[in-house]
Amino acid sequence: MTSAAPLIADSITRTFGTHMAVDDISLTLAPGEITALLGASGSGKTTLLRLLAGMERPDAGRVLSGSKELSSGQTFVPIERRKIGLVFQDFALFPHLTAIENVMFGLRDLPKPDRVTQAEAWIDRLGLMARRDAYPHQLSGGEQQRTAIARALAPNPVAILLDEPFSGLDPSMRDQVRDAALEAVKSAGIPALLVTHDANEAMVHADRIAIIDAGRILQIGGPEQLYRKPVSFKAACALGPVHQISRDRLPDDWKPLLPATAKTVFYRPEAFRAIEGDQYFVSRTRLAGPVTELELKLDSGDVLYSACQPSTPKHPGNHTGISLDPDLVFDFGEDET
Amino acid sequence: MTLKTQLFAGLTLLVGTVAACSNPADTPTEGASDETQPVLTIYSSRHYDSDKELFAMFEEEAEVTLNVRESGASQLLETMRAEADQSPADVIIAADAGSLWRFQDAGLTQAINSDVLNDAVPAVYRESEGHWYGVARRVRGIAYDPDRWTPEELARWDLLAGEDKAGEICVRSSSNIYNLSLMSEIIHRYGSETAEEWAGAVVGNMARNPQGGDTDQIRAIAAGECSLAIVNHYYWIRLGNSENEADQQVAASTAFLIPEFVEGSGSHVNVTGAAITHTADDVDLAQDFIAFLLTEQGQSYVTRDTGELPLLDTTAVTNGADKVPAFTASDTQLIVYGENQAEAQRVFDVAGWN
Amino acid sequence: MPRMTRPFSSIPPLLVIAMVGLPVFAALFAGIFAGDGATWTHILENRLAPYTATTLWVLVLTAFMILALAVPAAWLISQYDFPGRSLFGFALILPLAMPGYVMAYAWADMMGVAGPIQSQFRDWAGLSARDYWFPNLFSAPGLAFVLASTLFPYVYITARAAFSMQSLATFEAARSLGARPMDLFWRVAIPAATPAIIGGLCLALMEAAADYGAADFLGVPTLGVGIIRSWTSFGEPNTAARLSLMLILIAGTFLVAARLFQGQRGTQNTSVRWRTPDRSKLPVLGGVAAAGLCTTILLICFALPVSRLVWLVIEYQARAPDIVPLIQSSLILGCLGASVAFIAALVFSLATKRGETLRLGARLVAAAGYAAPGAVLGLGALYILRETGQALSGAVAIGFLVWIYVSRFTSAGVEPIQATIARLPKNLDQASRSLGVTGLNQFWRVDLPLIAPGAVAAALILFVEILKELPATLMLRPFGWDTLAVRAHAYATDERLAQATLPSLLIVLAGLVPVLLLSWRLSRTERIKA
Repeated sequence: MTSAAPLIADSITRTFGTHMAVDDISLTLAPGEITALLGASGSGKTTLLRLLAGMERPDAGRVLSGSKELSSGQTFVPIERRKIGLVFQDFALFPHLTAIENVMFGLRDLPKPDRVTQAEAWIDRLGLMARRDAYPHQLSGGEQQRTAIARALAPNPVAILLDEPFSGLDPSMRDQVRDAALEAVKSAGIPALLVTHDANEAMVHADRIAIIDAGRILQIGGPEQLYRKPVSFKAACALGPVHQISRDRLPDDWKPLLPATAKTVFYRPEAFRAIEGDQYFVSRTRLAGPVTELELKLDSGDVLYSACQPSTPKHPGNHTGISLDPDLVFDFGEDET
Repeated sequence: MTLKTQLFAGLTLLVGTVAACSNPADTPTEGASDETQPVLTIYSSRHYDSDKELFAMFEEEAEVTLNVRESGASQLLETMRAEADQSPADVIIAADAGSLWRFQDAGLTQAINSDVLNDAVPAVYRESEGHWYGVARRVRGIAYDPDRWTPEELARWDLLAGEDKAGEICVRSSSNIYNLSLMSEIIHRYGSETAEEWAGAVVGNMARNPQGGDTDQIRAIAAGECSLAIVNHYYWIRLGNSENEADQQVAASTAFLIPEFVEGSGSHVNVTGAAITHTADDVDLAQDFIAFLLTEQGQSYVTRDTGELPLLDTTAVTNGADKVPAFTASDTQLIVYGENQAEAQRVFDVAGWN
Repeated sequence: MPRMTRPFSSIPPLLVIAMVGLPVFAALFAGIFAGDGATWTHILENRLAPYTATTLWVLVLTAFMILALAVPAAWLISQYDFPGRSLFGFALILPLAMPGYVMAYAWADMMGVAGPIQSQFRDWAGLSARDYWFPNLFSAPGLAFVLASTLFPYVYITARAAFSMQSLATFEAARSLGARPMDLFWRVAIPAATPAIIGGLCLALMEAAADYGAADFLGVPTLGVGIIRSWTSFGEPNTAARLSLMLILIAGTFLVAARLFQGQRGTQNTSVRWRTPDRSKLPVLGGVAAAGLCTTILLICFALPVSRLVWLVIEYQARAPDIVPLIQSSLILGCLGASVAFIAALVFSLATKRGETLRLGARLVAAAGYAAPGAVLGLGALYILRETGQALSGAVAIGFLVWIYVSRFTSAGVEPIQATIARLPKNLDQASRSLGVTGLNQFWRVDLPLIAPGAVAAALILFVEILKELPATLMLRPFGWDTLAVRAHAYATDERLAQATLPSLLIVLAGLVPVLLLSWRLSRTERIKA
């Protein structure tokens, strides 16, 4: 195996014309860890990946693998000598090669029998043995993606970068492919970057998440930390629904419990959990995956969003009690909309 | 937008075409027949500007319209076969006795008994039953480097097979009709076996693979690649007549002679000739046309661009053709050229003469 | 591929197949059932093997030369920026306007032992013609060189399109796996573009196989020459037709081999959304080298021979009387033939999706026409004419001539159209039908606009090909319809090359207009896509 060194972006910047695509970003990808880079389209996440991969040169800053400089003012190691594995959203398999030949593509330095053995090991690992001699257009989307991942991992890269690798897949098969694929990535013991716009994917599969917006990293941390302790409204929004309400409009007995002092407070719906009781009027309900979101009418006339388990269903017109989890109420120290 | 533009371009092309083609009768044509005039249709294997002038003169003189199809002799022959009784052709002009025989052999010509034509054309230069008549003569001879050879060393065709000619001969490929006709006469005189030996020896003496036309062979002599070449007389004449200085130098540095088969046998002479087709509507008019070719005026135009020799002794030899040395025609019937033509190609093939 | 079959039942395609195939099969039928003459025995025993061997040798050489000329240039033009790139991209298609026989005249004149190059060399070196070696154009390699330099644009066009269609992600994936620029070319770009390159090469080689003019002029005994020889020297057109079966077999073998070679490999990108790679700027030295390569190709395949022709016209003050009617007939026959052949190609391309058998059959029939020498097709036309009891004049002659153009060139029109169809997204057809647009309506509103780029290319290529066509035109044209090619040939066969140059140049000029249009369109498509 390769010596596992972190892949480091050190204050890198890249502008296109007047547009700052990547604005002074520093990021360390630890070996054996999957770091998700989470952001909307146009946030600069793909540019950051391209800078790390060596598809683009940074205007300023450095890219390092451990202590080895890959990009800096003086040096630029081209993509073909970085040994960084890449997985693309659209698979980018070579149409003229079979699955196994695609995986063997990067194994040029080995003697042929070793190449076959090593490629087969990866093919097998990703459950593609039955499809080893099929051409890309004969493979399903999931098979294509697994082939692409096997291809990227086979040459023992120093890091692997995945650019929205699962967004092209059918949701029904996505989970299955994703689990197998990311398991393989993770067990490679190298830095891995998973670029995605899917917060759920990031939270479930990444060890750490970096939230990127307008070319800047808003926050880096573990999924739990980011969900529970966002540093800004934008950062909070990136991982799930966030609502705001004026502090004055909340029932008086909650006010002392809140950590915040600002006029406007932000909260996740789960901050207000439905319990037995009948103080609050349910005006609307919305099934949102594992929880149901309730719209409550407060006495002040404002709307408060809360969450309840589907096991204790509520319906519009019902009344409910609320328990408060102050950890999920945030104060960003300023008013935001 | 872009697709639309491209589509438009494509459609414009189509529409334009249809418009352009909607009235083909208006298109370039000397042949648009005038209803009031009789029409004479000529199938010619020659392509000379002077022929066009000649045809125009005949149109005026005889008050007829000439339709002319110029193409290869073989193609014209197949066309006539395909057209069968419907063929518009009245007169065939072909630049080799072998080709004329082909038309005759295919039953596409008719025998003419015309005193005018028989008087004008010596018997050796016409088909005995009057199926076709020569209108101009051409001789195949040898262009050579006079510093290298004396005329005596090249006086007979068999001398080309001699060892002294090794690596000295330039000649064009065997499928050319001039070579076929020459070979046909050799086969006629000596039989295929001897002819094959001769051809094999000539191939062995060649300076290079057969390539290019006769003119190229003469130029190769001047360039020094070989010292003698088998060519028709008029290609050498044309080089001398050229306005191009380099061409004139080529002609000046070479000489031309007309060999015999054995001493006193006479030389290999070929003709450009005319025949009247079996479908000719107006045989008299067709005869008039051929007779016109044999007038002095006709003869001068027939030979003007080509550099051929006129058939009538009385016609002044123009355009440098007077430089061609005197010769006597061999007594071989020209029809032999046609009859032996396929065998000639076979002999060449076997001898390795590409 | 979308199922673009709606507006057509299978009757029009079958009619077109019959139309394209009939002249070839009329000739072959006559040839095969004519009985063995002495000539056939002789050819079988003495000539068939050498003719075939020479032809294959010439084709192999031509193929290599075409690839060497077309593929690197297409790669450079599609991937890199260097001085003069857009001009070269444009100009490299120009040799298409040059008929093979004209190229042969020009180069033979320049390279001949008495030509300017060797003469100058002898003057300078004081040597005689026998004292040194000089490349001989009058040889199989010489013929291959002449054919390759006029036919390489076919491969250049297809290769360039294929290279610029490649997915950026595929290249980046390859680079991330350690592929250097040279590896990208050999291991990714070339294999992925191979089907397109093979397609163009098939077309070019079929045309090369059918050549008579250049081979005859250069004295290389190919099958094409042998076919005409057995007609003119042996007086047996049936033998000629039978011999041309050999050529058609070779062409069929190409097609089948190309299919087998391709096997089940994918030709299309699997990418859902792809970005074509941005062209990268070459460093100064590389740029100069790239520009130098393109300049050399252009000089060899176009500028030098054309300049030589112009020079000859001036030096000999060549006059060509009545040139205007020649231009008119050339243009009219070109337009007429191109339109009908275009429609035939369109019907072929759109309707042959009816089944693999019909599709392959149609392609083989079209290929048979394309690989058969024009003279043999002309012969087929004459056999058909005989059955009709008509004379070859007026409208009948034009009809037959256009028919032969269609039979001969439809293949050249089918390729670009099918290449475009192959690249279309799969579900457009369904999308259109779901919106209630079907049948002829769908053809006009969806199919035709989509295939327009390929269709325009097809129409232009057909026009240029017909403009250059010689043997069939020579045989079948009605009275008074001499074309430029016919006139050039008339002078050239009589060794009046200087006079032949003017009509030859005019063919090139007339061909330049559509070729420039084609070139402009190709560059445009590339820009739009980028």
